[in-house]
Amino acid sequence: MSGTPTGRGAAEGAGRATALLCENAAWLAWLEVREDPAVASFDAVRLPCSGTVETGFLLRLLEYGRRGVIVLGCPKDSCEYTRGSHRAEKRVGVARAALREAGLNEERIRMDFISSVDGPRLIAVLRAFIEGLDRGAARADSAPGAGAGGSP
Amino acid sequence: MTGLFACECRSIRPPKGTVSGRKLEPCGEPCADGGKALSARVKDAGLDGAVIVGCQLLFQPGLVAALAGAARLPSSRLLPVALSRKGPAGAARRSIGCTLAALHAMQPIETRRVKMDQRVLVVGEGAAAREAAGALAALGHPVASVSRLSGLAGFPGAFTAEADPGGLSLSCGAVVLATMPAPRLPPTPAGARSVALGGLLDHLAALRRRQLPRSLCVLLDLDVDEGIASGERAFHACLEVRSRFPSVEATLALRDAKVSALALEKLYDEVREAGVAILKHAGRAMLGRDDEGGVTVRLRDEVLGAEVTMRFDLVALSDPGTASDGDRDLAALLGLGVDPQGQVQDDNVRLLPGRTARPGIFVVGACRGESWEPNALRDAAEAAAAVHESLDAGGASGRGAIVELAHAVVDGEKCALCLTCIRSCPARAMRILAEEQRADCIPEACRRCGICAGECPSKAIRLPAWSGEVVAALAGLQGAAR
Repeated sequence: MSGTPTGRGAAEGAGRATALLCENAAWLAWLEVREDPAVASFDAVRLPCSGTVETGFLLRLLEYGRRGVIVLGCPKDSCEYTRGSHRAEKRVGVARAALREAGLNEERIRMDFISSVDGPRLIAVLRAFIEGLDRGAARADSAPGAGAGGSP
Repeated sequence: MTGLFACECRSIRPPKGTVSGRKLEPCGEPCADGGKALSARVKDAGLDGAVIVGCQLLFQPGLVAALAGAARLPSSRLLPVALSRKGPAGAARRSIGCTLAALHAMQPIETRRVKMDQRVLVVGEGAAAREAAGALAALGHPVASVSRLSGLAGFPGAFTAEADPGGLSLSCGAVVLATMPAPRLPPTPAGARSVALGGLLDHLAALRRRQLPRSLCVLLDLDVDEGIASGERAFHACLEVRSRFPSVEATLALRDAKVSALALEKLYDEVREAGVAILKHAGRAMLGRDDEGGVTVRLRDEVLGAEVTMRFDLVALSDPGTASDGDRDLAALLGLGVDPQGQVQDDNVRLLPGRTARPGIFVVGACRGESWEPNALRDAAEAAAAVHESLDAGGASGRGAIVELAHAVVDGEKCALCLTCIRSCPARAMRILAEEQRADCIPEACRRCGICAGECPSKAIRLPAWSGEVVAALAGLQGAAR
């Protein structure tokens, strides 16, 4: 791999959270609520389907200093590609297990399912995600060495 | 060379100055002017890709593809960015910068001219199949009709079907499944007096006057909710019974009267006015027999909110048309989903009406659980229009359609022939090339979802427009792919 930054924690966007959004539903909800303050702390990445997300990519985002990663797919029974949301959920589960086994805050990676017309729920999910990250960071501060805010 | 453009409408505030060393060029209002200014600028400068910054209107279905088409760019090489009006300028710069980086990380997308076989295979007999065949013929497609299918290979625009019986091999561009419903009669206790709803009137007509039952129950929705077709047949049967056999007291028991179709509510009112008692039940109704040869019906009355048991001389059971076992075999053969009622359709609102997860294969009428004839016929007409749309792109000129080769690409060196992609592809677009000993993706069948790329354990598959490099760049991790 060429061009790997040496100071990974200092890469652009470090300290912010990333939202990976399926363009068929969650992305449309995101566009509707993009003026909301809850959205401002996220960098949004539009994807053709949440099912394209790889476990390694989720972990790499944390490696490069992202605070947390949330994958937002279609509701499972209305996935454009029928099984994409199921498959993404499995891979997010694998990434969370990897964080858990490493003794890190598994809430830094999450998956949720948002319909294209469900902007209010999207905001609630994003707020809850940030609160989970804050709680994890507070726990890490009170237990030195756990390092939930640092590099995995 | 790539371009960076910003919509000139006032709903966004593009960042001032440069982004990643590039200045944002004005390009009119593409969502209002059809992209005239944009395409002129792209063509003048000979660009091979562009990022366009605008509001959420850029993401209207099909708009980016239309703008790209007008500018003669592959649609995956025109990347839209939606800005917010109030958001911080830093966030806007970051998202534009990441999108530019993604465009640069994307490898060129080639195009190819593809000829689609215009013939359509209609599987099944009956009104929906005839309607589909007629509508397709009217749209200029040669139609082949077969009653059953025993095999299907190939991809949209070039299927090879094996018709059953006879083993006839046919080439076609698309397939419409329009099989007939199979009547399904619920089991009744041995010796209980029950008839199928379809045979009720003949049964009563064959009896002598004093043999006629005094009480009759027409029972719908015994174990599952049935559709509009069952309700309509039951309403007609009840009216006939009341007019031809006035001595028979009729009760109609159903879960919900499904009257959401033309003239059905009026028919329902006529049934009530004809003196038929209507009873709404919930859950499963249980049938038994009593000592005098009558039938007991135990059900939960929704209005009373209590279990009631009633006795009738005769029960007429609805025999709803549903997908048959043959249809389920067909679904398995074609790799189509089956919903909880056994009907050939995925339980997914995005695929209605008549579309399946596999491009080029459509399902209409009773096969997908729509046995009410007016709806089945409408299904057939809609499927015919969808088939025409899928086969016609560029087909009218006879030269074929221009297809962007943005499908999944398999790296033969990395492919371990584990078949994960074959199992995970919802569109069945993957195949194995035996001679090259690797998996391969069929461009005409691929829907560019990227599920195979995400699943492949060897990381041998990538979508050119959404490769690891592109997604990493979009997420701000330049140079950090895979």
